Amino acid sequence: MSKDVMMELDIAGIEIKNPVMVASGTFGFGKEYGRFYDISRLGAIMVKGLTLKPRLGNPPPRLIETPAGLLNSIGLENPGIQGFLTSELPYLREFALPVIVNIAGDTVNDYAKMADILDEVKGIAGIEVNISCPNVKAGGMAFGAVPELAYDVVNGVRKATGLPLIVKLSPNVTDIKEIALKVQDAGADAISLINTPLGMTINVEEQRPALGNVFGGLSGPAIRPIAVRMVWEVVGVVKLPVIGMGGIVTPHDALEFIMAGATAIAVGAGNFLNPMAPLEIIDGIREYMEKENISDINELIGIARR
Amino acid sequence: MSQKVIARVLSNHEVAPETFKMFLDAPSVVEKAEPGQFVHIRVSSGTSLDPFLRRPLSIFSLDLDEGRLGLLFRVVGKGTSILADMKDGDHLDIIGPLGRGFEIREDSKKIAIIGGGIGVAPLLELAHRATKKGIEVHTLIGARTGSMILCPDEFRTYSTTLAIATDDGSVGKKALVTDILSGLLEREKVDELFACGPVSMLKTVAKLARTSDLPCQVSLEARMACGVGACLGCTIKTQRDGKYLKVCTDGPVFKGEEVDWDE
Ligand SMILES: Cc1cc2nc3c(=O)[nH]c(=O)nc-3n(C[C@H](O)[C@H](O)[C@H](O)COP(=O)(O)OP(=O)(O)OC[C@H]3O[C@@H](n4cnc5c(N)ncnc54)[C@H](O)[C@@H]3O)c2cc1C
Ligand SMILES: Cc1cc2nc3c(=O)[nH]c(=O)nc-3n(C[C@H](O)[C@H](O)[C@H](O)COP(=O)(O)O)c2cc1C
Ligand code: FES
Repeated sequence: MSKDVMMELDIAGIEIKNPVMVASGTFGFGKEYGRFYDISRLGAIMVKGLTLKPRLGNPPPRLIETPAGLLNSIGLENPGIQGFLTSELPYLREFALPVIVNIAGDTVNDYAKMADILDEVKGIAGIEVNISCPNVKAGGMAFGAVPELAYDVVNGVRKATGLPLIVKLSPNVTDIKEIALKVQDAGADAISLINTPLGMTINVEEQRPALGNVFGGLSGPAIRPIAVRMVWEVVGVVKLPVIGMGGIVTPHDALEFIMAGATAIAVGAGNFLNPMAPLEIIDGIREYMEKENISDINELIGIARR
Repeated sequence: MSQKVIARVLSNHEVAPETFKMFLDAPSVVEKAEPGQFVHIRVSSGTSLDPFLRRPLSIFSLDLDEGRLGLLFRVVGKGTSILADMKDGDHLDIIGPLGRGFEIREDSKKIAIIGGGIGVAPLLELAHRATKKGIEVHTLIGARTGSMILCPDEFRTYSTTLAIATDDGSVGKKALVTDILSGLLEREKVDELFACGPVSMLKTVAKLARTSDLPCQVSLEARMACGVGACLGCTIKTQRDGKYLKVCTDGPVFKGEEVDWDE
């Protein structure tokens, strides 16, 4: 290992030892993969999406494999924010690992309430706001699909907390740049993308939709080119740092995002195929930097744009 | 601390139509494993990402002295076809042992083991361990037809009695394995039931257990992604206020009365 390579970063005021995070919903609350390796080696953990009250989630089947990926319709099963704070956070506090709490809600008020609760809690590095959820008051239209609704959520959360605020964008939009700019105006400190594009498959033998919930979110290498393109677009218009994700499995995949301008990246479904993927990616980025004589990760960010 | 190992294939043979028995050299998995647990196997090789998800297979046999792990699987699709093509000396990336296996009660003296089709896979090692403890093991296995009765000789070795049922009567009794179980429960005072197989069979076993007031453990399946409890993809509905449990970490072995069989 070369002494010269610098991978430490500051993103939205969160200090991370390397740019490799793990994506919300694919890494539980850390314990599960803590059996494979020391999770404090990660840049940060984005925990499973939380809601104000516990949620049971969608009926099974919730998963279906697709070419180079999978569709999921988990439906935000989670223990609720209080359940997380009492049962899950104590474990994570044992590690020198920034904990980013992913939150989701039905109303702007839900989001703001959760941010308010988290604001008081020790051991939380930042909040990631998942705006892919349907806005109950606006007839179920996703917050992340309408610039004004996205603004309202982020603005509501911003007022409730001084914690670093990452807003996670949905790819199910016509113009991701417009949403990103609104989110920036509303006071976000960073943007993460992409959440899962909606998809569906039909079970031909049974002649009906394969997922219990009909539609699901697509993840895995199948979506990587879409994700890289959206990162490229968003980095081109906002001043905020961007966390890129979507189909990252290998160091090469991670480098694509970083070169497109992402300051950090997150491994999602890649954990399922290879539980060691995040560590292999950290090592792989370091090796690449050594090979290319790049001493500071900042030199690599957005290199493909120059 | 990693549970991920690269295991060498020691042998892989077709033991029944479209059904393979594979042995792997995996001492670190074998030493920790319990009957009813499973391993999560990467079926894509090298840099290929297809198929993207791992495939769960039950632990069929454990040879502690040799560090040898046995699997028994039926070819139903892409992943299991890839596994069927594996040869001695090939390597497999596996995670395990995973999940909660069968637990035999301290005071059990006599148990019944019921397997349907490929569902016998997790039951052999259970019969083995029970026999070693001096427990009387009554094994009942069923299948569509005689050629699909898997590994009867191995089961005979670890069973006090072995009953075989086929839908077509080509081997054993022409009956449902659960009908044979009803008969057994009338004759013998068994302490516990253990079962794996099609859901309809498990449902009947759970019902028989309830009417006979016997504890019963069943091994269930669900599609899995992570296999370690992180993605919440493998849930089944339970009797507890409609709550879900994860097959990969709360199971795959569940108490019969825990499961919402009407889902
Ligand atoms: C805990 C556990 C233990 C298992 N143990 C064994 C075992 O010991 N031996 C064995 O032969 N099989 C076992 N299975 C089932 C095995 O995992 C599947 O047959 C396998 O994943 C199919 O992969 P494939 O790529 O060959 O099929 P695919 O191409 O993925 O699918 C072929 C067909 O099988 C169905 N299918 C796929 N996966 C599952 C699943 N998990 N549950 C129900 N239907 C499915 C698909 O809908 C499709 O119709 C187990 C499953 C679980 C969850
Ligand atoms: C099983 C599963 C559950 C997920 N749950 C959440 C969630 O709770 N909140 C969220 O913001 N994103 C969730 N996601 C989306 C991922 O965090 C990620 O944005 C997406 O899967 C794309 O990355 P990937 O292709 O590397 O998985 C989930 C994804 C998967 C596969
Ligand atoms: S397969 Fe991921 S939680 Fe069970």
